[in-house]
Amino acid sequence: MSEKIQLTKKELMPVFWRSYQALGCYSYDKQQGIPYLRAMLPVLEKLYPEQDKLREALRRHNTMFNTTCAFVPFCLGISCAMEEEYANDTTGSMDPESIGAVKIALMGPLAGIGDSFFWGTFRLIACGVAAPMAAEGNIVGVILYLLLNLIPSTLTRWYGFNLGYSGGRKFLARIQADGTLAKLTEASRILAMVVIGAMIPQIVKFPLALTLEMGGGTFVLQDVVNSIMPNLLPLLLSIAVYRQIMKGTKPNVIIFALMALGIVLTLLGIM
Amino acid sequence: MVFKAFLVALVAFYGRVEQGWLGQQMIARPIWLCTLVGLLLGDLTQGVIIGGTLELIWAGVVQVGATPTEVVTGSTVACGLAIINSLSVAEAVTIAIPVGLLATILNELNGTLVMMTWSPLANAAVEECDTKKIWWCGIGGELTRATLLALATFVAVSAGSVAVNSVIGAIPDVIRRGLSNASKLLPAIGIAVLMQFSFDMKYVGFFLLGFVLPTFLGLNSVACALVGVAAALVYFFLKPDSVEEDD
Repeated sequence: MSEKIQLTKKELMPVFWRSYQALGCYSYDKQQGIPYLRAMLPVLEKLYPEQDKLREALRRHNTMFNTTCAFVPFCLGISCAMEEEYANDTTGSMDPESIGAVKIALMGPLAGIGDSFFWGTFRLIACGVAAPMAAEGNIVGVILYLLLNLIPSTLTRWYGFNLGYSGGRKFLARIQADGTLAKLTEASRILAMVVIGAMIPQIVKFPLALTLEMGGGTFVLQDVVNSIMPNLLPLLLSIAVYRQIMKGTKPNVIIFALMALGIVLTLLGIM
Repeated sequence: MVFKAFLVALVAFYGRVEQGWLGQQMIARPIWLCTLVGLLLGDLTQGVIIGGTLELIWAGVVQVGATPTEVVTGSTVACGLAIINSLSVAEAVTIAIPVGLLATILNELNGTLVMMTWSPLANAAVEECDTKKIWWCGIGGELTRATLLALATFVAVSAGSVAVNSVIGAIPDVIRRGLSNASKLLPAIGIAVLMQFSFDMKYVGFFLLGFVLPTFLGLNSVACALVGVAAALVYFFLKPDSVEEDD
């Protein structure tokens, strides 16, 4: 029986600082995924000294992730607590899949709240107050703009990380003991599916531009598609790409195919 | 001229890495970047004025979902050219808008570049358990992007305003629009990758429910997430504990 591995400030502080590089390698396939994995490294290396276990953990975090930057530390805090829990789990009752499922379940709602808070609220207030001052040549406007954005974001990052780690850990100890963790995992996958389904109309767009004059009437392709079902094409496209990925088609091939599709459809006047 | 262009490119580089490496705290915006350009080029007040003006014009441009106007390159190039050539604030604005749109293409190009280079490199590093390589991969994408856009800024400011306008006019419109349209399709790959991890045929009903909420009921992402929470709670509280024995 191995000894319990306890995370300390020595591993957790680097994770917090690395949360600032959440957009350090933004790609279409994983978005903030690789920087998230990078941020987790100090903790994963401490928890999994054996290479096989470490590789498994690295794979677990090498996935797509995306949320508002200010909430990334909160998610990292929870992931750290869950990894610590899993690494010390000797009963085999914790499903490592739940670590990823919690990430996916959190990122959508947090992005929704965070984008409206940080992009839509603090930044807009700062802009409304400070930009007119700056436009008149007053440097106080610039300083005001910086403070109105930096203060809420810094507080959210620091307290979010601590809350994520400490809350996540207590929470886990309790639910693991009474056996509801499995049920929670299932529930979080249900939440993830609703969020993913709802993300399609919000982030995938398939705008059609084709209009034809036909015998006095105007044929607008977008209207015809919308009359069948709005967002039909983003849904079909997402399902088609999913099936291709499940078949093993490389994301790069899909990227080129979609870029070619965009240019060809624009050339034909359809998009 | 070349040295001044270099200074402006430095600000553009900083503007990109503010988002990539310094937490995207909403300050890589015209109001702050133009102030820095003004400071470095020796006309702080003009920098502040151009920055404030562009900030008001681009207030609605946010970096959420698909790539919008690239405000970092747009504002640094326009502010740099305006201060170096003593242009008016209005002239700076007319340069900023097309440059911002054009730089968006470079930005999208980098997204693709990252997916083709850094992303597979990270996958390989994971299999090799090479944490040093992962460390670099995690910040590499922004290094290529910031370098690319800083170079573009340097070239644009060195070449001058006339050259900038003629280059923008020379790119075929259909290619510009085609790439912009394609960037709206590309997030489907992200969705597909997410589904790969949590989709199971038994959840298809929840997937459909999620899709219907914004499409037919017009709910925003917070409301959709709450419905998801509700569905999860119903499951969580109504499903009997598996540890309980059947009577």
